[in-house]
Amino acid sequence: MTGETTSVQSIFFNSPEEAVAALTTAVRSGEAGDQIHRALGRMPEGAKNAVMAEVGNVAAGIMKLDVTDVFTAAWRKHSALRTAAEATLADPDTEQVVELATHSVSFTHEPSVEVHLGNLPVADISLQVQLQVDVRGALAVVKGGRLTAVRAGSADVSGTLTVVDHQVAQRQVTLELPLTIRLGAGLPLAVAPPTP
Amino acid sequence: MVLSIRRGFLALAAVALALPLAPAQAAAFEKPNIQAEANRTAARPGEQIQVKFTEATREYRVSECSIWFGEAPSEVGTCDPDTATAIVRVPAIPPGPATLYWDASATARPVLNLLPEPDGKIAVTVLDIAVTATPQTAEPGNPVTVDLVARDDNVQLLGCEVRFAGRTTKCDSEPGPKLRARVTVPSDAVHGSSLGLRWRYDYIGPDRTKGRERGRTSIRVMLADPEFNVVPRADTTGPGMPYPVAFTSLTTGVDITGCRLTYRTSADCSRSGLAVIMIPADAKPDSTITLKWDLQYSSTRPGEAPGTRKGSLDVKVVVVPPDFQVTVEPAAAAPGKEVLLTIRSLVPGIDIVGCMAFFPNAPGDLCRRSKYRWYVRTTVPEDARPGATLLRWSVASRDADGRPGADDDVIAYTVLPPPKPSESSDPAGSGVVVEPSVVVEPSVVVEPSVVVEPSVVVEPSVTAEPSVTAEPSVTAEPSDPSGSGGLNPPDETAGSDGPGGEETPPVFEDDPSPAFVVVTDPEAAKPGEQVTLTVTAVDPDVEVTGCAAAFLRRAGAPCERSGGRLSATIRVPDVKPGDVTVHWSVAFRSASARPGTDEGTVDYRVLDAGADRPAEFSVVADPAAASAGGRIAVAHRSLVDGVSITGCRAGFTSDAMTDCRRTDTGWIAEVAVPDAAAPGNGAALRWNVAYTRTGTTAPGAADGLLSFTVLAAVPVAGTNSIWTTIWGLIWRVLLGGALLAGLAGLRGVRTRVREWRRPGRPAGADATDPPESVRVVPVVPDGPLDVEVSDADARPRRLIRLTYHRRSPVIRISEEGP
Repeated sequence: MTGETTSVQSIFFNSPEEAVAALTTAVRSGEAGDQIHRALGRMPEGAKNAVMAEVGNVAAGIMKLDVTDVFTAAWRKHSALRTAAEATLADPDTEQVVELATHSVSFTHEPSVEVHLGNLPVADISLQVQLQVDVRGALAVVKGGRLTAVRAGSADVSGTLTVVDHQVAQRQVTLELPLTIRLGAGLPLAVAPPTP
Repeated sequence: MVLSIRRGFLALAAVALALPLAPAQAAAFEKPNIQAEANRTAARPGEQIQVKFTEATREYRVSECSIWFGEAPSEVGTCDPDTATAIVRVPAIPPGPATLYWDASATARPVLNLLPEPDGKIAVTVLDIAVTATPQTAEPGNPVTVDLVARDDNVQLLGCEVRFAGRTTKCDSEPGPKLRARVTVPSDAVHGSSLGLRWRYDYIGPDRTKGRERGRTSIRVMLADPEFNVVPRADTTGPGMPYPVAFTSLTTGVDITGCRLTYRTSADCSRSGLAVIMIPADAKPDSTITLKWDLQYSSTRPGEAPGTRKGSLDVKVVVVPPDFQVTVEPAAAAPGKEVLLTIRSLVPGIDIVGCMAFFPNAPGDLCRRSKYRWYVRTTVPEDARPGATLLRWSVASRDADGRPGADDDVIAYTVLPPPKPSESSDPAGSGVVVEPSVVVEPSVVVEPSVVVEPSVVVEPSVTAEPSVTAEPSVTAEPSDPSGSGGLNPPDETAGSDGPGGEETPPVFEDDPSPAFVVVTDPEAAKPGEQVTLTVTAVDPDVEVTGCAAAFLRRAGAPCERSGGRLSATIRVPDVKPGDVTVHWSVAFRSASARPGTDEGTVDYRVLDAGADRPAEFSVVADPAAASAGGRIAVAHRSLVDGVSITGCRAGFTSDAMTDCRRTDTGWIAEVAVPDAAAPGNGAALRWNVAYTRTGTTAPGAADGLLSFTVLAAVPVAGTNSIWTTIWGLIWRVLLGGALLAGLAGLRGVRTRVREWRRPGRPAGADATDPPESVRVVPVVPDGPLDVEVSDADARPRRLIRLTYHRRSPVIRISEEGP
């Protein structure tokens, strides 16, 4: 087990370098490339290429979103976990291990990269990340109102990455949740009521 | 026998009355000797002190007792006659020395005094140990410090614990008069809630008595107000100019969801938080206008609701005198026609080192340098619509100290309808316009219409332009990165290898390639004529040691030193009229004495061998900026030998043109700046010239524009002339509408020219970094992640509940025997 987090980027690409290269290629072609070409007018081709490479680089950076955040955002909505959180918050001497029923999580993320020329935005390159995650056999540990660990379970992830309506990548991967989820000091699922 | 005796005056009096014994008999009874001893002589308010009473003679039994502090006599301690002890709680009295009084009797009798009167006293020290938690209001994630301080020198705090937000923290100090514990408000603590903080400490007093004290307080969780940065991108603005303001959140977890600038109209922010508002054209110079802004934000910080903020920015409106003056010829042109711009510096010591001009949606062109001027020929785009457009120019410069500078601006320009095929002045299609497009009788001065058709002024397509493609190409920058066919510049300082025989020395990264200016003389020539090309370095510390030049990569000519400069003389090849490429190369010694080479190309205008050189004129306004009501002299001069001016006119409007008069220094028109001229740098003088050529009687005419700045002046009331209502309105509407559409290009030009001139970075070469005028900004959606869970209410398959049973640890120590 390594201490590295699993990012959305790593779902689609084998390495950060591959992500930058693929996104730069995507930005240079199609509607994205046209947008930037139009926006930069008669700027030298070399400079345009540099701008598009930077757009690809920034787009790859945006995709370094930790998948733990996706799972935790989903599980905050999960009734069984919330119930366990409230119970353990009320009784600090207890810990609950919740075996979640199989469920699915859908995630949509639509960041964009703006190109500013001078002081003004002249191009807006939109990205869309869609993930469909099927979670099986997750064993969640809840303590003190927090999700403190995921001891078992796996997630089948299928995702598509689109740059300005042009599909750049499509992947299917299986993640082992104990190796993927990094909860640190625990994810708060319930909050103690205010002290009067 | 039991004898009740109470110490004290009243007690003795009572005994005397009840037992009228003879004095001798009374003396036979020994008085009781009651003594009191406290279990501690130092305590904190609230703590108990126990006093044990004993009777020394053993003849009596203590049957009543009471103790109290002199500082709080109404709080009398309780007495247990069976054990002859009294207990009192230290009242809330000031810390420090205090007196504990006691009263006791050896017989049961009523206490006559309502307020106790002491039989004795014990010195007691009331301890003062303060516990404070700071701050009482804290942000999530921030620390709270718990300080315990004993104010008595002889008190030692032995240890403490603080329980806060479910965690127990021990003090981080050694025993002493002060202890401290640090706890942290949980990062997910809810805004507005209160978290209990419990503490416990042990101490030992000056009487060596140990004590333990507990207490609690609460910490209120309050998020700090979110902070935002609303930063204008410029300190000042001008009438009719765009004014960008950037909005950013400085608080983690708080995102701006919308923002807006308002001044008469509103301008919303882009997704990255940049709003650009047009300053009205009638904004008064030297006034301060107040832009209102507002923003909306959302927060992911627990318990914090979305909110809004509003404020205002004061912006000074200024009109800055120009540094450069631009002459445009002709004043209007049809699509496909050339427009000539001559740019000159108005500030002594500031030299132009490069410039460019371009129309919207056109490639644009770079300046050329002749012996007399910087000029650029650019072409009206073939698809330009007749009517008003903006002709943009930009200049890179150096001041006397070598510091680079840049400037740019626009001139409102009129695009004429395309000429009918029969009207073409360039049937050969060479692209060379050999005469002004309009030829008139010398006595008639043609006034090109600057007042464009209203339908063009408000043309929605101008402001609806989605993107700016009007940037000029800087790929025409002299450069030949491949080096193929490049000339090997002869280095005068080189050894015997001679010109071109030396390998190109490396240019070190920390000594970037300098920039060069290539001057051609004459500006244009016919095939077979000679052209002198001079290469000079922009940086005076760079020494040109050799150079060479050639037309069309043909055999080049090495430079020769003449008049302190190196020049190559080359002959114009027999080619069609139009622009041809001149390749040049240079060897130099940099400011740090490192040798280097550079090369590039410039375009050169080849004239039609059978035609006259086009008439061109220098038109200069002195001064180049004046306030309304001021007077300026507009001087006209022919730049072509054999072309003589026979008359000219200049003025701001077609109905107020002033005739020239011939002087020793040229043809000069005295022009008055209209009293109602609105200040700003978008104005233009119009001029036209009638001329003849030597050896011919055919008259000619030329016209053009001259950039001019109207400086701020005290406005004159009631002088809204036709100038203001038509011309001023038109160019400002043009400037406002079209400039907004093409703003990015314009705003970026200055920086790009600077980049283009930047040594070591020839235009057209592949760049590894984006130009500094370009920023790439990631925009991540605000708010929580968009995640949906199917069957979120499904019951768990299994639920395991673990309960901890905490027991005190048992520690056993076995010691070895002696």
